[in-house]
Amino acid sequence: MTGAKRQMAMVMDLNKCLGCHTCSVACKTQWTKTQGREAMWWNTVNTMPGEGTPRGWESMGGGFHDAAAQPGEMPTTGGFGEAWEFNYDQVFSEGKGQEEHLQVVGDAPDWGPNWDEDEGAGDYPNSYHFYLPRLCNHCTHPACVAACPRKAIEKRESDGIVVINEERCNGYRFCMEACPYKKIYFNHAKQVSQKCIFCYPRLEQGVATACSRQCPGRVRFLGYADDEDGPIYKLVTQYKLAVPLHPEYGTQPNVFYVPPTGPMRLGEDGDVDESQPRIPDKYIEHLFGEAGLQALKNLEREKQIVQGGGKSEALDVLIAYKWEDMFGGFDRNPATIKWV
Amino acid sequence: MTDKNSATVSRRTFLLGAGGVGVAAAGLSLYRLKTRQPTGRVLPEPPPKSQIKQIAYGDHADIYREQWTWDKVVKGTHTRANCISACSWDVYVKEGIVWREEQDAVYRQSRPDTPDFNPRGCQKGACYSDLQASESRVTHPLKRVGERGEGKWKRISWDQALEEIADKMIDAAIEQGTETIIFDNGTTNAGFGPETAGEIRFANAIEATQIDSWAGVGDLPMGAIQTWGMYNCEGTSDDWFRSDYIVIWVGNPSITRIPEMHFMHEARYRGAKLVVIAPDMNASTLHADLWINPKPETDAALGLAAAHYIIENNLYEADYIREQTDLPILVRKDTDKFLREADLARGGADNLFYFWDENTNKVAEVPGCEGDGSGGRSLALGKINPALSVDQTITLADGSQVGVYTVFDRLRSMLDEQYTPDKAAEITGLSPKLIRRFAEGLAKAPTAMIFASWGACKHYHSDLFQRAMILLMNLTGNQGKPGGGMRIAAWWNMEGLDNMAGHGMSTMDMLKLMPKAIRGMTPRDYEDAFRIYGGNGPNSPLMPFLYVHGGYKELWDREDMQDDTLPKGVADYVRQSLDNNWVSMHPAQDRHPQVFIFTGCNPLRRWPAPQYALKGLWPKLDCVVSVNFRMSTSSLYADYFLPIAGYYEKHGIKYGQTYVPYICTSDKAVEPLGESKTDWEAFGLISRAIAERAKARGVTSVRGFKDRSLDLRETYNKHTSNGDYDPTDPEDPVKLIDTIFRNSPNCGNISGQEALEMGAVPLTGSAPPSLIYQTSSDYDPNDTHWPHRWFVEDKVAWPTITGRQQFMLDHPWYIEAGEDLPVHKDPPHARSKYPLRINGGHNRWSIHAIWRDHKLMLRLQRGQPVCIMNSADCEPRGISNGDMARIYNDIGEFEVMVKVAPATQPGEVIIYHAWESYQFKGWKGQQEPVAAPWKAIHMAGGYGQLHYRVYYGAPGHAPRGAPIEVERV
Repeated sequence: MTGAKRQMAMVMDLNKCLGCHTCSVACKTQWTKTQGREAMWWNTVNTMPGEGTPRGWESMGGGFHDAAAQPGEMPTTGGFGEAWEFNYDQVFSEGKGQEEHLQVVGDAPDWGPNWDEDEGAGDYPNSYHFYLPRLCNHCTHPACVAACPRKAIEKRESDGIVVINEERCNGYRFCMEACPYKKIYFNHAKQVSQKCIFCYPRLEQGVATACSRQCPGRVRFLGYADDEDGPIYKLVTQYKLAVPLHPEYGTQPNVFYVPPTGPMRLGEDGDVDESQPRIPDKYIEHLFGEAGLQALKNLEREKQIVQGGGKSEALDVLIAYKWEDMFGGFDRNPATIKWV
Repeated sequence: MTDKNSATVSRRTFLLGAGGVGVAAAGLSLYRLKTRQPTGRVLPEPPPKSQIKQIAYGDHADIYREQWTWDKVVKGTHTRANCISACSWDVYVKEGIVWREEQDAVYRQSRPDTPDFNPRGCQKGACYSDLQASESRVTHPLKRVGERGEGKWKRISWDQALEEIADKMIDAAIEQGTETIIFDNGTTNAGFGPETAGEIRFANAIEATQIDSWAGVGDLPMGAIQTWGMYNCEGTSDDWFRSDYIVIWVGNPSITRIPEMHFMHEARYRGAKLVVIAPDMNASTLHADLWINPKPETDAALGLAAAHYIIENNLYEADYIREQTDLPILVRKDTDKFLREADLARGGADNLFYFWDENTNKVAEVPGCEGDGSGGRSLALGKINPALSVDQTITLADGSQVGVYTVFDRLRSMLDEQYTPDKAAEITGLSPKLIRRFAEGLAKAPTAMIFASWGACKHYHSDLFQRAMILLMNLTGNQGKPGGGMRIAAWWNMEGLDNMAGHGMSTMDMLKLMPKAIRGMTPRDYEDAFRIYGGNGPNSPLMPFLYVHGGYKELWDREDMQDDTLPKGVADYVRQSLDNNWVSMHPAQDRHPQVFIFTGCNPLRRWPAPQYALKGLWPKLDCVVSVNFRMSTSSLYADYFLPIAGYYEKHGIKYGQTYVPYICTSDKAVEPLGESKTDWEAFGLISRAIAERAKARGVTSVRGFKDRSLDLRETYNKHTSNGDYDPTDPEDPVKLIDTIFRNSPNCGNISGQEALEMGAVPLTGSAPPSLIYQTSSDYDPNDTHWPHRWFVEDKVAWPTITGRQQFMLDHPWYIEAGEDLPVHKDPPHARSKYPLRINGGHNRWSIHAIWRDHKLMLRLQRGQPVCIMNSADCEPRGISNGDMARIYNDIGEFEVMVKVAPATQPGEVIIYHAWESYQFKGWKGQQEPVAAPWKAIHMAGGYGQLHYRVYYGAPGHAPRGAPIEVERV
């Protein structure tokens, strides 16, 4: 669609994700604390399988099929999860004692951005779940760009980051319908669409995105996709351990995932049953397509190498002996920056 | 430990002088010994400030560029959140307020072949800036004007609050003595600096009773104490990366060790296996290789069955257990007690034990045991080759003959009889094949570790779990090895912490210790000293305190709370223990607590069945004072609320856990909100008010600790070390931090100001042990750190009666309990008529109650407390995901939303830790039905390592497994 000379990309290793949401909170304090953005979580983490945020996003349409734009549903704030307010004063200082307990003001909540945390699927003791962090995929073929009648969304030539021009945006929200990942929010105060900006002000100063740099699980790798010395190229292109989410949506995401594995299943006799994986292949395929299963095979191949006493460059990248190596050169410490 | 024996006493200050409250600070050293590693200035230079790249498009994109600017960056951390991790943060200040924080990721690699620690932190730390200014923050002194718990407050001045509180304390002192003023900082929730030093000085100065809550929060690993005579057993978290077989057992580090967990996941990429033992498939299980799912509270049976398999298949490390354990020590077949010198000779010692030496075919004294004649210093076997298995006859002092065998023989035959994998399968619900698979993997791994954390302390029979776990780590020779052994937790020490309290040790006390110090203090010598001087103040362990004073006697004396495997009830054990002076009780039983002042803790949220405290303790209290930065359940039942500065509004030093080899400091980024004051100033002002009011009221002498005369007019002089400090001076905390760092050579001999500017201060060496710190390994900045090297590498004796890791305890209470060897036992609630059990643990979203009611965190949950159940338990009860349910038994009840998840084992109701009671309807919180009867034999004393001193050896809070029923509402 809109060509970029280079493309910034991210790889997330789902086998290291703790579901701690430090990424979401880092993004929240960085970009979406202000009025009109209270309910926005440009970065989210959900337990999968699950309905996620917005609720049921995987079946809301959008994206492309055979290069044709697909109709998509408009996500709602309720579907994402409202920014609940609470009755603190009533409980703490209005003299009502135990009659009032702390709760959401207004309607009792029935959904939120992490409502189905740790629920998962399957049956005890062979249930399965894992955490899936998501942000804007800064797609190579962004459906949002194509859908915007105002041409208010640009894919930056220098780094491929997809940015909404809020001066041009008229709040039509076609982009929200078109995005198959449902990662665009609406700012009701400013009447514009807003979403992850891949922390371009940080990247411009050589600093990794907040979600990457602040991730204590050391899940996120960052860099230019074509940097052969960088982690993205090694994990995506060279060793093929990382794949995009829902490739069938047709937008060519630039956020990639090392698919998850779970502990061995338990068989009827209570011992381990290695005949099939805990997370069903079908579910991996549902999320990542055929390439997801291949990525898991590749990962297993590398693990066999180290268990046999060999050396695996791919796994050394995932270990990240030196944390700064995760960021493809965007490793500047922001605290050293002095604004003038 | 190259030169331990040449260590010398270099300074005489000693913290535990008058009033044991001084020991509140975590990591206080006994006295100064020379640090063992070179401590020159090896600290890194801070990176130079760099100029921005000029990006001036002047386009729409500038709106976000303009958002990402700030005025200054200050180092900060969350000093009193009582989070077990210590993370350094950069606090970004814009226009006079804290805008946001981001990790100060400057930690270096310990070794080239282990990953570094960066970036650390978690989602809670990442939004403290928001919490600090949230709705639950209190910024003005409050006085209750309605009933307790009614939420009617009047804003008053600090002067009025201080005068009224001081008068109440003086009244209590006059009426019953100062021991009836109870000071509680709860979960030993202390910093290493001024944020905690003030309360220590205050409580010391007035000789108030201090609640020892180490066991009271369920954090005291009694199984470790019984086996090792100590409980610190952790290293740096990068040491986990060196393990080949990591067993997470009871703990849940993916949510409780967020900054450290990556090392376990990364270890898998170098070939390690990650095994999780837990009834539910919790967050830490998701990326494991093997999940073992026993029925709750059958962990000891699993461990013992694995031990059986390892012994049966000759997979044990014979040389290791011969040297490092009591397994080869001789046992009399007639009594099943150790063979002692007292058996062999009239007037012989009862703490000298024997091996059967295969070289001489005779008995040989056990070197390193308490009575070995040389102070029990070294366990080195020399020429002795102890037989692991023995069948001999010995002639006793009275001429009679008795057969002897070894602890190993006893253990093996017990395991054969009771804990084969097949028999354990019946107890645990596991397949015997799975048990064998686990045992084999553990035994054959080059190095294996068990990450047990504090979780295993919160069950009734936690000590039995831990003894079985430690047994496995011994049979496999892993304890004391890199990437190996039982891991619970440990602290760093800083020698300069002595200055927090500012009391000197008496010359007489020092002289008594001098001979030992000249020889070099062993862990046994330290423990002996801690026992003597740790008793120098009014400390009361929480559970016995609540039993005697807190209104819990009627609950814990109930028939269904008794352990039917014991010959006596809890009341008898309490009486015997107090009569023998094994456990101390302050105030004495004939007085009652009169003033309760608490800070950094939340007793009415945490204590078991808190409705009993509200009914039985609160009415006794003339005055309840909460000193806190935020409102809490307990504060709502207080009479006064003194508002404290937030973490970024004051100077402090975070307590140092060994997970990361740095001490984290917190500089002041902004001024305290409203009228809130630092802890240092607030407690200084309380001490000053007491001195002034005592003078004004002409009070000359009151009864202090043990009814000794105490002059309250001197309170402020004592508090300030006779004017050395002035808590009202805003720079005073920096002065104290400076004194602490300048006297802590293991932190690089830097100034307080340098430490505050660095944020994360790298350790350069070790400090001597303290009341809570004794990992018994020297810290090497160029290696990972792991515990217990002194014993395994340097052959120092363990501080147990046998000088070894001890699996047999022939204390009469343990014998009558049938727990002289590690066994599996059902807890008392196994007999309950209620079908379901509350389990849980610490949670992802809060540090205790802090952050629990925080809006930003609640929005990422369900906005309210939840419990998690399996559909197998929900369907028969007509409960669907999202329904409200009543959880109840005949002690208490609460209402909560149900989440349904197949990861939960049927029979379990998981409710994670620390919701505030006011988040539940009627403020009936999750502890209401949790009676938490405690293990009475943990009040045992008079036997080597089985004794109480502050922070060591007390019965713990065991909330897990509370029996309940659930119904839809």
